[in-house]
Amino acid sequence: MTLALQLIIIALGIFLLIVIMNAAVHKKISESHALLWIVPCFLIIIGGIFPQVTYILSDMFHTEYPPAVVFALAIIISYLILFQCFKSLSVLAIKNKELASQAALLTERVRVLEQTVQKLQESCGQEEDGVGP
Amino acid sequence: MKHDLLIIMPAYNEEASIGKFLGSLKEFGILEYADIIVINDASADHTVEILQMLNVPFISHPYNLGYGAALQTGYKYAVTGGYRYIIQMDSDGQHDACNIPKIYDCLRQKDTLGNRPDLVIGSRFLKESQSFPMPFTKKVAIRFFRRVIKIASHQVITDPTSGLQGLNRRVFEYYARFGNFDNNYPDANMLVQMSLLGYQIKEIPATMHKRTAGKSMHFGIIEPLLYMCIMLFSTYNVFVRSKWKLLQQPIYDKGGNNPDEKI
Repeated sequence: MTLALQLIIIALGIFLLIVIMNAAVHKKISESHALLWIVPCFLIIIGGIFPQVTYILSDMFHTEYPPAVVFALAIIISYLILFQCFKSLSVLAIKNKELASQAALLTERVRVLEQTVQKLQESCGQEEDGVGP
Repeated sequence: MKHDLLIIMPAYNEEASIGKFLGSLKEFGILEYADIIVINDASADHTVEILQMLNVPFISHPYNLGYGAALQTGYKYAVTGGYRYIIQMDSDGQHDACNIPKIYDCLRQKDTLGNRPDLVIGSRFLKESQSFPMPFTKKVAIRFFRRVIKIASHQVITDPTSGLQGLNRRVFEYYARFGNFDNNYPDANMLVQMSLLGYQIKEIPATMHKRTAGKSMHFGIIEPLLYMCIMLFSTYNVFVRSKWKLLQQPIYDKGGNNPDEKI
C-alpha cells in the first residue's frame, strides 16, 4: 500500500469519526447508535496505520487476494449495522402502532366523557329553567 | 396535589417488592407530608394489580421506555402538579424509606451562605452511610465515574450511580423539558451536566439494602460494559455541549437556587 493511500484512509477514518461524534454532540444520533458507527471508524484508522494487518488476516484465512479480506470484513460490518437498523425500525413500527391504538382509545374515551358532560349540563340547565322534572 | 413533596418511583416488574416498600412508606408516616406516584414502565407481572389493590396513584407507560424515561414522566407529572420538591427512589426496596425525611430536610435547609441545594444525592459511601457489600466490578465502575465527574466538573460525588435523589423544582422543571434529560441512562452524565450548569449538588449519607427480588438493570457481562462505554461517551458529549454552549440554560439564573422565592 502506498503512503498516499494510507494517509487518505487515515484521513477518511478521522473525518468519519469527527462527523459521527459531532452528530452525537448535537443529539442527531443516540450515543448507543453512534458507538455502532465509531467502532468501524477505528477499524478504518487502524487499517490505515497498520496495512500489514490485511496481509496477516489474508494469511490466516488462506486468501490469495488480500483486499478480499477487507471487502469481506466491510460487508460483514455493514450487514450487522443494517440488521441493527432494521431491528430498531421494526421495534419502532410496533411501538408506533401501539401508540396510535392507545391514542384512538383515548380519543373515544374523551368523546364519551364530553357527551356525558354535555348531557349533564343540558339536564342542569333544564332544571334551572324549571322545565325539568 | 396535597403536599409540596412528591415521591417518584419508577417500577418495572416489581411485584415481589413494591407492596412491602409501599407499606414501609406508610409505616414511616411519609404519606402524611408527601404525595406518591409510581411510574409503571409497562410491567409484565402483577405490579399494576398490586398498585390498584393498595390504592396507590400510578401512571402506566404503553410499552417499556426505560428507567430514564420513567423518571422523566414523573418530572413532567410533578411540573403539572405544581410540586416544589421531588424525591426519586427505586421500587425494589433497595432505598430505605428512612432516607426520605433526611433528603427532604436537606433540600429545604439553607447552608452557611444562605443557599439551598438543588439536587441531593443519597450516598452509599459517606461516613454514616449504611449499605450492602457490592460486587468488585460495580465498585470499579463507581470509582471510575467518580474520577470522570471530578475531571469533567471538578465536583466530588462519592456515589454517581445512586438512584436515590432529591430535586427541587428548579432541577426537575429543567429535566422535564425535551432533550434536557438522558432518558436511557441518567447517571454520571446528568450530574456533570447539572454541575456545569451551576446547580448546587449535595450528598448525604443514605441507608440502602441489597435487592432481594427482581432483576437489576445492569446484569451479566456485556450490559455493564456497554453501559460504561455509553456513559463515558455521554459524559464526554455533555462536556463538549457545555464548552460549545449547546446546553439549554437553567430556567432561573445561577445562584437563584431558592425555589421558595423564585417560584
